[in-house]
Amino acid sequence: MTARHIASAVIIAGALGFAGPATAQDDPIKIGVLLPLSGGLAASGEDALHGFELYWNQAGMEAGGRPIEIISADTSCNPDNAINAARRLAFNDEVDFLVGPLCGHEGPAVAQVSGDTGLPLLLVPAAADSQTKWDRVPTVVRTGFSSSQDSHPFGEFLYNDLGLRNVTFVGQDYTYGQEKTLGAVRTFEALGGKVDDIIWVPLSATDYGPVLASVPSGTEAVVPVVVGAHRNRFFETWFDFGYDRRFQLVGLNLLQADALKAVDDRAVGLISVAQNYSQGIDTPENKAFIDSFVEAYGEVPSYFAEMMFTTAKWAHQAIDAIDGDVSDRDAFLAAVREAEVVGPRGPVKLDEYDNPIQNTYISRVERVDHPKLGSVLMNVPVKTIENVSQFWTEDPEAFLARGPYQR
Amino acid sequence: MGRLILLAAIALALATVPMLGNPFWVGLTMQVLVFGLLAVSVDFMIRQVGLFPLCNGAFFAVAAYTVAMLETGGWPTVAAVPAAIAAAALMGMAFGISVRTGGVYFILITLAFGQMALSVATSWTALTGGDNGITNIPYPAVAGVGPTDLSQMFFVVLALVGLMVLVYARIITSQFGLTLNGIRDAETRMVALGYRTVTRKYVAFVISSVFAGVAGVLYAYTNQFVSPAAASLLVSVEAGLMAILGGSGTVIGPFLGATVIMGIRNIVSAMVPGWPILMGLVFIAVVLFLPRGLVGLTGRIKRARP
Amino acid sequence: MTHSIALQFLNGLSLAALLFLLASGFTLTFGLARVVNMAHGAYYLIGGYLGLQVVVWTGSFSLGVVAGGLSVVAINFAVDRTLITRTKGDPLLQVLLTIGITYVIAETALLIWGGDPMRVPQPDWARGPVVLPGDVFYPRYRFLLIVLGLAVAALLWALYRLTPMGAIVRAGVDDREMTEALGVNITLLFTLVFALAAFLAGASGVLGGAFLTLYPHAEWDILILALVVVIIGGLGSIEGAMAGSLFVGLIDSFGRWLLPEAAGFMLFGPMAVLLLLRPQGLFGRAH
Repeated sequence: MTARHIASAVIIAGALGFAGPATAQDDPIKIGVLLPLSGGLAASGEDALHGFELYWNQAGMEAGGRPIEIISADTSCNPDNAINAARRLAFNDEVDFLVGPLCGHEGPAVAQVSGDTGLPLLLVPAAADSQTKWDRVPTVVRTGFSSSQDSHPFGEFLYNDLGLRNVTFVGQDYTYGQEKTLGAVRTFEALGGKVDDIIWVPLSATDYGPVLASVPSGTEAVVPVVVGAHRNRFFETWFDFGYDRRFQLVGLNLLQADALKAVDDRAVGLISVAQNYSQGIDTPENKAFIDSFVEAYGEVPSYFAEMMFTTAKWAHQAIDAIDGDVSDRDAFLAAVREAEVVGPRGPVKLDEYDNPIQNTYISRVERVDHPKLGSVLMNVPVKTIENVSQFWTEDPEAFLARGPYQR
Repeated sequence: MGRLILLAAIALALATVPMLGNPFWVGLTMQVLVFGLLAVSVDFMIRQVGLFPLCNGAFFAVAAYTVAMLETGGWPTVAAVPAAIAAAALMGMAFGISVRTGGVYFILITLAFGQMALSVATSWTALTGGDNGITNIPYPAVAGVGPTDLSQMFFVVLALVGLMVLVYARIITSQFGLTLNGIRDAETRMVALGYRTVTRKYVAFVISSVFAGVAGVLYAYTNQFVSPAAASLLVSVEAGLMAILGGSGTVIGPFLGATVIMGIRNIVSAMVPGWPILMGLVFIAVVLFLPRGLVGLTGRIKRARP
Repeated sequence: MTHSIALQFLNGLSLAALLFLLASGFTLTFGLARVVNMAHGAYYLIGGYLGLQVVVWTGSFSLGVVAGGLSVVAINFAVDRTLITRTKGDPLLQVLLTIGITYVIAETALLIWGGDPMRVPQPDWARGPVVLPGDVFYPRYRFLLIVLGLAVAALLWALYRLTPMGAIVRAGVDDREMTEALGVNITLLFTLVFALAAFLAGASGVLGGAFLTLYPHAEWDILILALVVVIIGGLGSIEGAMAGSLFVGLIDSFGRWLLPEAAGFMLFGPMAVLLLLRPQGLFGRAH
């Protein structure tokens, strides 16, 4: 090949680069975000959206040399609305990929649209185990967590670190609650721990008085897995009835950041939650995240905000890796699968079943002085378990063969 | 006859929706048809019997769940569909004791029955998949023949809803339908005439549950998943609103109402934050200004003309 | 075992006390004016949030309860005069209308106070557990709530059964035209009863918010329970609201303890049986 040939090839390539894809380079990459922005989970949905927007604002609303456009759609935490919202983003707004949804039962609905249309979906924060285990869709990649993922190390923490032998679980009686509870039950029992009782509480329960009265008297500790407003009701009832004088309280899913707003110093010192994020993680990435979030929105970010922030960073890396050509969906998905991201929650990468391998943080509530917010209650990690897989230490095939956690 | 032509024209117009080539509109129109049929089942009770049931969402859900469980369990469509409709009818027969009451009592009692069904859907996880519901429901197929994509499914739904509308029109003009009207307007007189009014109301209630069941079956197939959201009280309430909003006592009314409500849920919601307030205002406005519904508007315009 | 029975009995009573406050207003409004006001759940919610705000500002729990009640009196007055009167007694329209009002109130509350669960701070004098014989702990707040519920029940019953005004209300429930024909100012009477019902609903939101917390959808959760109370007790009857509250409170608490999975059935199952035998409820009149 002569120099002339090379030169013309460069010219042709340059010309193509300007003529063809050049317009595409100016076109924004459209990201469709599905979250509940009305109804009971609107606050969580908004918090999640803030996390997503915060990242892109910091990144200059640009990735792979193209501008980013975020189009959000309200799902109201209702799968019927979610499926329509996903189709609207896909066909009317013609987004390049989807991010969301928040509620567990919306996950399958949105995943179905992704499967039908081939539109990539970054599944977050919806956590149902099945979506990265038994009901996988090829175009769906999870960037949040699976319900039972953080429960497995937590069950061992109960036995090994806290030295507990007899515990009672209080589990919310729906998919997430069952998966999160039974994951910990399994690893705790595998070490020889004894579960005195699992008290299942339906989502419709209003009063925790009757629930807690059924805790067996000989038990050492009570481990709640409760969600939404149930968390604060559980907390209040616990202290109102004086259970703090009779049992140890160890929260597996009790007081995340949003629930901490409505409690007082009785919470200080409690093990509050085991999850893939904790506001008190002591890394530069997390400190910068917390400070910029507080600066922008005037409150501590919830784990929803963190998950969406890291998801945005993840998408950014993937878009950069393919030079902004998200129209090649396979390439985009492959780039997402290969990316190794360091978010506020720590290092994250996908396993072969498209679920993140990441740290589990077991948190304790502490009173922390924040330069902007003053003295606030915050979750601080007491134990970090690194690189936790959704299958924990088990062989994935064996885990899958056992089937889902359900009571 | 004129009405039949109108219905045929509407069906033809709807048949062009898949040609737009946008699954969002296809999916949404399908949901309008399905929820419109559910609203028809509610309107049947409102119009023919003068009772407002708040448990039709439960019939809708039990049929949807039955289809979901059987289809994902490997049953053929020809068995799953009748089983689902039977399940709705059985539930209708059980809840039918509520026709012994009337007015407010009926509303409140059916509401409580509906809530009972919802509590089963969320807590009997092994059967219903709990909060996650049941996913991966295949499209229906008879002897291996059936729709394979959203557009084809659309035509199945359109045809079946059309058929149900014809059946419905047949029922309300039948002898039975006319007797129900008599009971609604002057129950004591009908009793005096020797009619067993409670039995007839009971039968009407079961018919209503069957219509709601058919809507539930179509819902399961079109969405391809079922979750407790299908059994929510608000499904029943909004079905009633659809009927009244569109114009109770007409065949088209419930579908018109469904169009408005689904439009607010899925289109306006993208533009207006706090859109449930708008939904609430629609409830209020309908009661205050449109008790005869959108269809009633045309009547009002006609009457206003000299 | 006896501990647990005593504890569950008290739990049932405290929920019953709260439900009675809400359901008695609902049932009175219906009995007197034949108005089905499904917005009672929303009244509970908005009364709770407004009361919470007042408690936060003034530091006084009692002031919060009164403020929650009074604000709902004002809301209900406006709603009744401008909207409910225009349904002309049609229960279908009343249900749709008041559910619409529920949507508006609940979503407005969500926009103002957000979706995170909030708790009305309990006053210092009601905090913490009291110790009963046999080393049973029970929250002081719930004890006081039971006492308050009993007091309000007794007061309402006495008003209803023993005073001249109660006699007129009872007459109005039985036959409105006849009472009016006797020259009683029925409009004033209605206004007073409506105000009382609204006050109880708003105040119960603050009282309930202090141990059940306030959160989106609380309006439906509490409304369903209150409706079961009035269905079982019989619409329009104070005695019925008492019996229904006790029934629902005790069934809920013992049901959750003994058969937690079937708690929903425990509530609705007996209701279905009762309806089969007595469609008008325990104390209701056949209409």
